[in-house]
Amino acid sequence: MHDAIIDIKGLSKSFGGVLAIDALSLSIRRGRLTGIIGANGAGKTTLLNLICGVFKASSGSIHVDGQDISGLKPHELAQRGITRSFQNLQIFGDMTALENVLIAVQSRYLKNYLRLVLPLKSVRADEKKWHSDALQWLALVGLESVADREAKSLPYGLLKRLELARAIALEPKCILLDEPAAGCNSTEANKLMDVIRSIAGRGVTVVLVEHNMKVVMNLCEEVFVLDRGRLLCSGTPDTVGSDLRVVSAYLGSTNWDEAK
Amino acid sequence: MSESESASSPHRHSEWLGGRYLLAILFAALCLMPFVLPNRFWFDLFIQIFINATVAIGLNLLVGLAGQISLGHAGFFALGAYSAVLLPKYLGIPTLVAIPAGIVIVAVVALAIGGPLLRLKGHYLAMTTLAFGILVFIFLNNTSNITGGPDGIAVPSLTLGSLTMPTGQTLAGVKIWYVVQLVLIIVAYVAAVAIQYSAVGRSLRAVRDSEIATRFCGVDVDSLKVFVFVLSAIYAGTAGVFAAFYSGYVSPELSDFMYSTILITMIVLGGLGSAIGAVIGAAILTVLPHVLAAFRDYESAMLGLILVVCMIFFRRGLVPTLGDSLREWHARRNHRY
Repeated sequence: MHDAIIDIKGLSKSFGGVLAIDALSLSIRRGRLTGIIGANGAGKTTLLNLICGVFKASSGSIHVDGQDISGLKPHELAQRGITRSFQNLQIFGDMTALENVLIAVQSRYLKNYLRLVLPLKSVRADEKKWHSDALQWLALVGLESVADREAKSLPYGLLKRLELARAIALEPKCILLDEPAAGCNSTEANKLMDVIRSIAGRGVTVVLVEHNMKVVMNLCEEVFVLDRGRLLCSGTPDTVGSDLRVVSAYLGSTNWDEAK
Repeated sequence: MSESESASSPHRHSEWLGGRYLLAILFAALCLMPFVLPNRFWFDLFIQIFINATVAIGLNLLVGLAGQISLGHAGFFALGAYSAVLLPKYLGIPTLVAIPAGIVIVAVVALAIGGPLLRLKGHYLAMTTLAFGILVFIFLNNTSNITGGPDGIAVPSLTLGSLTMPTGQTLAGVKIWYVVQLVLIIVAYVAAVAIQYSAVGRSLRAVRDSEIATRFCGVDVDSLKVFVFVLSAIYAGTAGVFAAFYSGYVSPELSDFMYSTILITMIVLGGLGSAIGAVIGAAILTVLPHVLAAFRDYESAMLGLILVVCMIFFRRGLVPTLGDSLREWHARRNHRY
């Protein structure tokens, strides 16, 4: 499949004998807003951690753009255009919103430490460029007005968006979002969905790992359902949805009807 | 200062703008000090402050900025100090060359142990760095035939051709050393502040706040951590080499665990992440024992009491807490008019 951005073949991961991911094969298509759903313990977050290089697979392979990424560290993957957000917020709390984004913007220039420390004109020019870039990314998620606020003083919903701004600032090919709407009220969730759509609209492949069916069904073009580390079914939200009634026992989710 | 620059770091104001005048006054005062200090004791006290502050400034980059603990920095200090003796004595290199050579040795040791050590976090990192410090202490004590063992060893004088630099044991010598150590701490301070407010410093702060998020921002956190560890070791080692030539004598006490602990206390008291805080913390903890000597047997108890009280009232350390109250007071006053 040439249009697959992430191609997973026979992937397994066990934690002390417990198979969290069991010979899983699936491929995520380029530019598709893709959802990965499943009950607690289905292996969603484990899969995400495997793709991002946090865990090493027990067996099987993951290819990104046809390239085997096993053994690559998270920062190497980030440099190659794969990044993620976190279920529990991972914000640089003592830094301003702008600085949070700057960390991502400046990362690819963080090579010659000595040069960056010296009071050079070129360094100051770089800083200026990074600042205006970071402000643009903040504007993309609607946070330009709080650019100078210390991150830990911002409300939860804004921090969720700040995480997205930081991820997109890497200009990645693919962003994996771990339960972006978790803990958000419906207003915050709606705003977040708008932002995710606009990110996807830029041609970035967005992969959602999500509990909130409403978010998944509203946003995603393709959905994979995991169960005990295996692929239960996949397809458009509608086809999965009709299947979903059958498998609701596995999902333990009753809010499907609400979502519709 | 442009708006965009101030936007990037709120702390820049407290340390650069508000603190700029204070720093200038402090600098001027330190430059004039040699003309007023009455005797060798006072010169020595200031030099001890400079030495401790140099180590503390470096340690603050590792602990305060990057959030990585080290309980073994006295080990690097001692390695630097012993280089001043052992390199000229056994390798026959000139004493002046022993300074850069000693610094390089400390850097290489830090680089070698930094990789594996900094994979560990929190308590585990504390334990292993502590173990490093203790290892240095044991090594210096037990290799008597090389290091002189527990008795220590005399350090040769710094010489350049026919010129000989006196140690700090004479008034004439201590005056020269005051200038040398003052220059050293100024270089150390300026370098630390430059790092702190650079893109590198920003990334280090990110590591402190969330290591995993920093990784996913594309930052090679492992090499960044080793970098700052080696850098802080270089600070300690440099201070150590100069301290050895200054005092003319080294002993394993330099690598004592107690010294590592005091270094940490200095930067916590002054305020983690603040370079000037490290200097102030070092000054207080260097001077206090002399002041508290009046309490005789209760000296240590008083020192402990003062530290406890300080940490209760200045929870984030002296400089950040006082800086915040100053800013608040300023804002309230501006608001009123």
